[in-house]
Amino acid sequence: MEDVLRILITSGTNWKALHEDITRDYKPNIHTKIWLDFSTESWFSIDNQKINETVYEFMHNTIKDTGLDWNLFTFIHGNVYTQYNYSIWREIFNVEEEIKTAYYPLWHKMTAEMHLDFSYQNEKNKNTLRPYMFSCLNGAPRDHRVITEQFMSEHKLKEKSRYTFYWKDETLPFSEHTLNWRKWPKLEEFNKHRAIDSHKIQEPEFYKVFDDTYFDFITETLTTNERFGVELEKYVSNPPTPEYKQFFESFKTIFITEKLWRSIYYKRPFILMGNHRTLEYLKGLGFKTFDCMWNEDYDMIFNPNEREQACLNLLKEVCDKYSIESIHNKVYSEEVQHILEHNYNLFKSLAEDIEVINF
Amino acid sequence: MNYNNEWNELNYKRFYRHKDQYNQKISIMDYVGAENTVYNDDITDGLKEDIRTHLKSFTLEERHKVNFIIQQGLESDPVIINDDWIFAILHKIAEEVDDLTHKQITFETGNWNINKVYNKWLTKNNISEQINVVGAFELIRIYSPKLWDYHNKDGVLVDLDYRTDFTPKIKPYVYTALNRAPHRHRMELFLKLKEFGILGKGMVSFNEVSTDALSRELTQEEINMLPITLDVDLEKSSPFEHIYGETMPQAFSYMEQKEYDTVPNEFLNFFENSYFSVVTETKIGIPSTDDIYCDENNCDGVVWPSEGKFKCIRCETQKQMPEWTEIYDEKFITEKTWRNLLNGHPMVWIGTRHTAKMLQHLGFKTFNSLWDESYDEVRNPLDRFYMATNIINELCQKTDEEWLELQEKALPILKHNQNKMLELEDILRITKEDTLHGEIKWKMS
Repeated sequence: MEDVLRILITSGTNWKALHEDITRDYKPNIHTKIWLDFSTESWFSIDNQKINETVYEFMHNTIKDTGLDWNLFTFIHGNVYTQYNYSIWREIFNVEEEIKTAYYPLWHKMTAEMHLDFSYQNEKNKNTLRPYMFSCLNGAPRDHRVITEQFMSEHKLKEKSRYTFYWKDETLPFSEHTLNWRKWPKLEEFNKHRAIDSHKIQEPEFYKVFDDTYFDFITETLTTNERFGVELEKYVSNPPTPEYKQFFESFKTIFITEKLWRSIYYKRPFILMGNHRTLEYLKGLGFKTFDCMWNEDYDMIFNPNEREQACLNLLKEVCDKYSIESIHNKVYSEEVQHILEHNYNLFKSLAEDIEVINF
Repeated sequence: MNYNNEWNELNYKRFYRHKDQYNQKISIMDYVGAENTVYNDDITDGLKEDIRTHLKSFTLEERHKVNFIIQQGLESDPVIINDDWIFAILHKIAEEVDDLTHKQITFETGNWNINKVYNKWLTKNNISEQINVVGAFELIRIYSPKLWDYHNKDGVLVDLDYRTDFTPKIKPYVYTALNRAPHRHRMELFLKLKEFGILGKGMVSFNEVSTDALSRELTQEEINMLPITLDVDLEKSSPFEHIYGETMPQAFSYMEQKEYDTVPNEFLNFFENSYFSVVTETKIGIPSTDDIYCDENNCDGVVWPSEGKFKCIRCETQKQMPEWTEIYDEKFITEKTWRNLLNGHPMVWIGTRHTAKMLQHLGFKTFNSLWDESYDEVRNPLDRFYMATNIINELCQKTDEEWLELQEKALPILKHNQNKMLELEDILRITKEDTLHGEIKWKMS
């Protein structure tokens, strides 16, 4: 892909200077394509740098500022619905220019390429009863994770899980060696959740979580939803124009990160506090989910708050219903093992389908 | 540009679909049956389930790209289901199928004025969401060489023979009027040609017979004159087998039985030996349904909307008509016209209103510089018929010299039309973009 100029964009990019980065790096005699690659995220808008624009609006304005040919550009996003959202945006705002857009399943590829294959844990521990029911790992204090922590405290579910809630200093019992590892680079109060680096193999204690539990309660990265309060105020209550409100309400998100892919890769059942219809999307890709273990109707609940609450209620139900022995037997039933094996194989083969772009 | 509807380079490759698979064509005949009728059984459940199943075969993020084109095929008749236009069930399906929006559904019919009907239907029902409706000139394919994909018995792509020499000359007949199915307007034409005494001036066939014309029943004496067979030996084949088996095998599936590598031009004789064609189109703007016939004192005339009321065009009795007919408007151009455009033969149409105007809109030239075409503007089908037949009668009175002059004047028109037919790379369509509030935004040559 020597002819592609890939401009990597992350939440930490200096967005306001993006057009300068592009014009500086673009070599007309070399590059026939410019990829604006923001596949790490699935944002609706860019408010962390006080840019009052939707992500598509920002990309179009950036391209306009470069003065380069629109045909060169592809905007790559981490939202499954990228092309749908872009078509809706152009329609609502009556935008004539069109660039290519794409969803890139970065986190699927990244998990397959860079994470440790811990699936052997499933077989290794098949004759061992584990001390806890489920895992629940949480870094940044997003709304849905905060309510998860409150719910788990209130219902004494922490007793049944291996969990982290970094903002409450509730972390894994790290060894001295790992603790030092976690202190690099320097972590302060405001960024201590960054100690979790999803892009690489985790420290040994991390894997103990899976040795000790039977399923994962995943608090996925809910980009649009977790920023909902900010965006609701900016685009629904006081939209700059009615079109912004219309676009916000039409915008769809499915964002799957290493949190979910990791469960599949590790052969773990999961309850997903994620976007509307994520399980349906997974099924569309050929994966099987766990309606043989618990009710998965939560996936079809449109309202984010109601869906989150349904996930939490389900978690409690499952913990009430199963004992360690019965969940062990269920997870190691032929039916569930078949699902885990199927998903693992599909995860790997689909990952090979995904074009490698440099991480 | 329409990049994003067919581009997915970076996603899971095994889910990539060819761009054609995003456009799912559904023949309405598969649901309502091959027999062409106005009233149809409720097909909502079957159609909805098939649409849902196809849509679900795409992953969630691809579903917005999928379009469903519900094709009425080669017909222009209203499709009435549960006493309402088909639009009602298509709207219902758009509302009830997950991940499907109205704009992903297209209803394609041979009625080129369908946007007007749809616009009225939306207004009448106070509906703002819109599906796409398209008037498609599907039958143009039969006489457009570049659109051909017909193969013979051996699987070889077959060519089409057409006339290229339009040199003016004196011809033995004035006109050609070939008729198979005995629609009322064709029987009316028989009566009129007989009344004018010009049956002998044309190469005329009425291969099948009905006892009813538009204005009246045929007398026994008139019935006894029929059929008039010119182009078909009824002892050897039926008129239907003749037209579709021999003269126009490309229209149905007869081509696969043929050995020739070029479809011979069975109409050449008529084009060479007459100055123009009287094209008795399939439709003249009257719905093909039994409830349009007057039942007053065994009248059996056609009931036609006039001054906001439905009146019999024979006895002028008012009649109550089904509600859907209030917005009925059917305009149809068939292979009978396209054949003449390819072969360079002038035409007078017994057809739906604005046939000539629509042809001009599509970029063809018609014959208003040769004779009066104002009949094309007349709304009432019987009045329009009378004006057109008066023109035919007038043309039959012209001398050979006058015809040589008219042929000379016709040459650029015929060549233009033929060239356009030869260059067509897709069938012609009238979409919403060609209309304003349902009315055609006419482009005139």
